[in-house]
Amino acid sequence: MEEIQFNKLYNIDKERLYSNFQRIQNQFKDLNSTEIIATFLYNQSIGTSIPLISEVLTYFQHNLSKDVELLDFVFEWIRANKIRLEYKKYINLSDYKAYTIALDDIIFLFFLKYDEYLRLLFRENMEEYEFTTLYQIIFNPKQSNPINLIELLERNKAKVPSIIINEEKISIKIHTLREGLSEMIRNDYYEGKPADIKFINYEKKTSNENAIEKDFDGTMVERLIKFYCFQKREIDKKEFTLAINQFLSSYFQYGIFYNFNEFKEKLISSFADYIYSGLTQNYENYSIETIQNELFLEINEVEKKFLNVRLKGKAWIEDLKPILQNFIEKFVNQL
Amino acid sequence: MLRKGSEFLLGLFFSDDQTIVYDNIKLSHDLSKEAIRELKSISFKFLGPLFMTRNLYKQKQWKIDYIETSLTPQLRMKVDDTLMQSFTCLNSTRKTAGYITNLFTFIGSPYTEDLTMIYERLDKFIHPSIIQGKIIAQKIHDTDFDFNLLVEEEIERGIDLLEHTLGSSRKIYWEEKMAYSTVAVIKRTKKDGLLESDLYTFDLDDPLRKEALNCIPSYYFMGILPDYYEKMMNETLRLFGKDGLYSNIIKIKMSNPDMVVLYIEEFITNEDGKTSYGLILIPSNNKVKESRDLFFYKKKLRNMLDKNKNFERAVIELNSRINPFQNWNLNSDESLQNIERSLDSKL
Repeated sequence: MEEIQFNKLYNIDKERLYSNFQRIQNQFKDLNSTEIIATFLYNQSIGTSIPLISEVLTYFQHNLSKDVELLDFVFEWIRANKIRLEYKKYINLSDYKAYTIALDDIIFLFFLKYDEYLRLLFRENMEEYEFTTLYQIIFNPKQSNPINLIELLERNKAKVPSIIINEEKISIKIHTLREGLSEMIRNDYYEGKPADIKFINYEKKTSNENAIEKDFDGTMVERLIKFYCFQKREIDKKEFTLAINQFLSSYFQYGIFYNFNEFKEKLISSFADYIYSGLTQNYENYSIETIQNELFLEINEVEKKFLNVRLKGKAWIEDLKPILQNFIEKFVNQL
Repeated sequence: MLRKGSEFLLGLFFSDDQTIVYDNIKLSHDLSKEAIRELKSISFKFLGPLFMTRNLYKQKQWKIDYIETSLTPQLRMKVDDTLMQSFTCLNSTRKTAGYITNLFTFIGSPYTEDLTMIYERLDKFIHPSIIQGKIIAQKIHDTDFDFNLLVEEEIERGIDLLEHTLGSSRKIYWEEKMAYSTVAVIKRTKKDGLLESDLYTFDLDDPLRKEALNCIPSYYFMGILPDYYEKMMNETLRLFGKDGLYSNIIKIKMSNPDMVVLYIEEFITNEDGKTSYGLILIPSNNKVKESRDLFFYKKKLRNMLDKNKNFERAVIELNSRINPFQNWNLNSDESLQNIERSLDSKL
């Protein structure tokens, strides 16, 4: 039923493809079946190299449902290419105000239903990070950089976990799709934009023009310091983590990209400010400038790593968390 | 997308099982910070129907999908095509891992808007995305994450997506062509500020009354919906500074996993005030016969109002088993309790 529906939208001529496949099969008799299929796909302008296609086929072959043949998956890979072409035409004609809107709208229009259909080809217990990886591969344009399958799988493992509650797999397909398709959609979205807006924080400026630029909120940091000054009780590591998390999460938004230089100064001055506000009168020897300087030195040590790096809010939170936590722990210990 | 300069208002509200409300509101024109803060409180007014939905959901899993109204400007008001002409509320209710969440939006726009398309985005994308975001964040960060921030971000993404969708022309869906049967008629009149609403349905001893009761949330609930929402929409419009516009119910859709019920209404205004006729419709089945498509019913209601047709005769033409001579008043607590006791009785 679903196949009929998708055939109407993105038709692939399976008969013709199959005869092409047979031709390649006859031509390369010395290759094994996976290599033949990989060669066939490569000839269909799919994938960046035959070894990579073979690796992908071998990996996902083990995840196919009982009645599904490897060729069924191969035909869907070809259809995925067709969907990509259709969606690209659409994104070029559309006038999205921001990348995040484009991402969500495109996933809803082109990939949400297809995801339901594609999942039918695979085992029910296939991991979500494997689906994310699958999308990153099958919708990847041929001319893009070569993909390292194992690296991709490892990277996605932590970001897209399968969730099972009471032995029931909970659907997180929108998250899986966003992770799997965001890079491709972002590249296609910015491809049609003038050069000067490719590298500025476009989403933030256009998503809500009336929005006041966000500030760091470190009330938990302030409270923690104050608490320590009054009680002199050892602070649990988890409390530090929570406070740092609140501080970073108040500024960085999920899905939006930031450059280090955009927030570096604000981060240093806000963090120092909240720490200073938490200090009681017994600690008059500390000035806001000293805290700022110490923090500046700490950040400077890792600055090289972040220079010219453009990351999503979520990634910045993860990267900056250990640095700030380390700083505040050291600071409290010396009080 | 909406044409530049078009008037619109858009609100998105999420409530979880602890009745916590998160909201985001967008407007086509600037308001002061104080006014925006006041507008935030309207979510609680709009949550009224959601609480009702919740109670119903527990019993029969009924949920309100959408309420659509048209807007009428005051007589002396300057009218142009950028002015808001429709005001709609859409609600998505979901049960995930044992708890219920609601995502609710209201949309004021110069267009009729493709509600099916908007509803799909709300129910199949934005709402699951909030729930899934929470589940994943819990899994990855345990308790070490800011749920409020996550919901607010998802709501902001959601409202951006809805705003992008606005301005689409409406398509005719299969729903419009399906056959429905009338199980009750509601007559509402407003004169000199006084509202008089009555419901007409099958006789108490008619087996069709009970058959229909199995296909709707309850006669009581269906009866109070139009007055409740129309009042709510008008209050919201006032809050948005739209004093010159009045809402008129066009369609209400409710559903549970197995059934759908529609309420459609047409109105006329004259020197006597405003008169509205509405129909409670269920998809035709073997038991409640006399079914027609939505075009027929809309035309019929228009005819009744424009040609001032005899009400009783028209009701019999809609469904010969409905008694047009016995009215069930919907305006007092006492009469509503009477409906609950008698019409909603399964005995």
